Amino acid sequence: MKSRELTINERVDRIVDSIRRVQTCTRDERNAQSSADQLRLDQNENRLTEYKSIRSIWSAWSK
Amino acid sequence: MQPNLTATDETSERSCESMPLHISATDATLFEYSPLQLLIMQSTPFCNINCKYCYLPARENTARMLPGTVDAVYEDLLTAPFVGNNFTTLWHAGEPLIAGIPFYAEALRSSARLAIRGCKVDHSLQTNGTLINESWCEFFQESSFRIGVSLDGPAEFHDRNRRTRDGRGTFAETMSGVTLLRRYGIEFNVICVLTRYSLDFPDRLFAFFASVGAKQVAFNIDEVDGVNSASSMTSLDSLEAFRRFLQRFYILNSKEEFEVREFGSLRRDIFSGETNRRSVQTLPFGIISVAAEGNYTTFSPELLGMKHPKYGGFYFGNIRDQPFTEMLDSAHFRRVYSEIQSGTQRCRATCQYYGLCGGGSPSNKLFENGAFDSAETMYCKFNKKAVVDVVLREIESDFNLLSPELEITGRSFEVSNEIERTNH
Repeated sequence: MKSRELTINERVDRIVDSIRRVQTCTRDERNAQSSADQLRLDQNENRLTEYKSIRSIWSAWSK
Repeated sequence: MQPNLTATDETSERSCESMPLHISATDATLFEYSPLQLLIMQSTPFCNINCKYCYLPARENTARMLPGTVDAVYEDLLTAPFVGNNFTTLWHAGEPLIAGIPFYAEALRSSARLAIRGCKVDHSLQTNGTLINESWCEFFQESSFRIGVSLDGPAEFHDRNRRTRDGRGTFAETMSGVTLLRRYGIEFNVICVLTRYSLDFPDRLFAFFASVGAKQVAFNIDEVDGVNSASSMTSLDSLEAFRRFLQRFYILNSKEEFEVREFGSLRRDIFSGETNRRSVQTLPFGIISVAAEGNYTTFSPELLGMKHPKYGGFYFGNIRDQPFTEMLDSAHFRRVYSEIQSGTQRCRATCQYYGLCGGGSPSNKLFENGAFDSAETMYCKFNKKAVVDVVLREIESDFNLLSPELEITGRSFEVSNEIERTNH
């Protein structure tokens, strides 16, 4: 069965979840995941660090 | 809409908190409202230039706002129930520098009285830059006014539309103002009105804005609104060209050499998961616009001074003898309020972008669709949907949330590069 397209709100929620996962995942939890998931988390963590250096984005988290 | 009217970080990108607030009229009727965020003051409707796409009526009217009118506004706001801890006064809807430095020095003193109720008033003005001189720069330095300059890019872009009454381009004069601001170390923002022509040149516009040293750049669209009844953006390919422009600009500015209003405000909402805000233009008091003679309106700033066959004008009172809250008792206000709320409900029911938009722009609904009680407009397609499409996709790409297939089409900015090469 073909999956339906996500709504705009669901896409926003998915982004927020991804960021939250990076921020809250402990080292042990990360090590317990598959190597593909670990790689994805590492990449997202790097991306988050880059984003935090951008003033207008960082202000969303630092409020 | 995001008019030529609004200083970059002040505007219609603003939204309201998601928790509804209500205010009572004299007869106890309740209205949902927004705390005051933006007070637009028209120190004069006159403009010393005559941009082709300007939507403002009466640009040749040399009337001035009297100091007594300014005082009446802030006197009312001293006790008004819809005032919170801060708001911005934006001087615009004409060329504000025409009013002169003493006028603004007095206005600053008048607004400072709101400190008594714990309210900080910031002042901002949106200028075409042609009248900026050393005296103005000294005043800006002393007064901490925030400055927005209307600048459409290099001369080739700017002078196509931003002209004097006798048809001369104003780029050189605007840039001499910008140069002075920079010499004095005064931060400024830029509003750039995008026409169909501009959309094929994101690289050139990016390089230009990176070089002028603006803190923030905001893109407004040449659109049908007010007395501007035609737009260069109505061609069939404009929307897709706008998407390509945004996408390329997003990539070019990935290190944020300057903030782009459209991206910044949306990214803040996305990262904070805010998908339940109302557009500040859809509720009373969030934006109040006061014309030079003291007449006031609320909702979209573009309603200031407008006439419409169905409604007449959109003034709900005059601050010299009617407090702002008296508009709640007016039948005219109630009719407009009710229709705008119906239009917002229509958006909520029919548009999946509602969560990141909150109901769009009532003035665009009226001037494009002929009714406040309507939904999609050109403003929605360009300023909301296209921006959301581009920004969401770029963030999803950054966080590995796109399928490989979408990843390819999502980063299709090579197309826009191709357009630039073709045009040179």
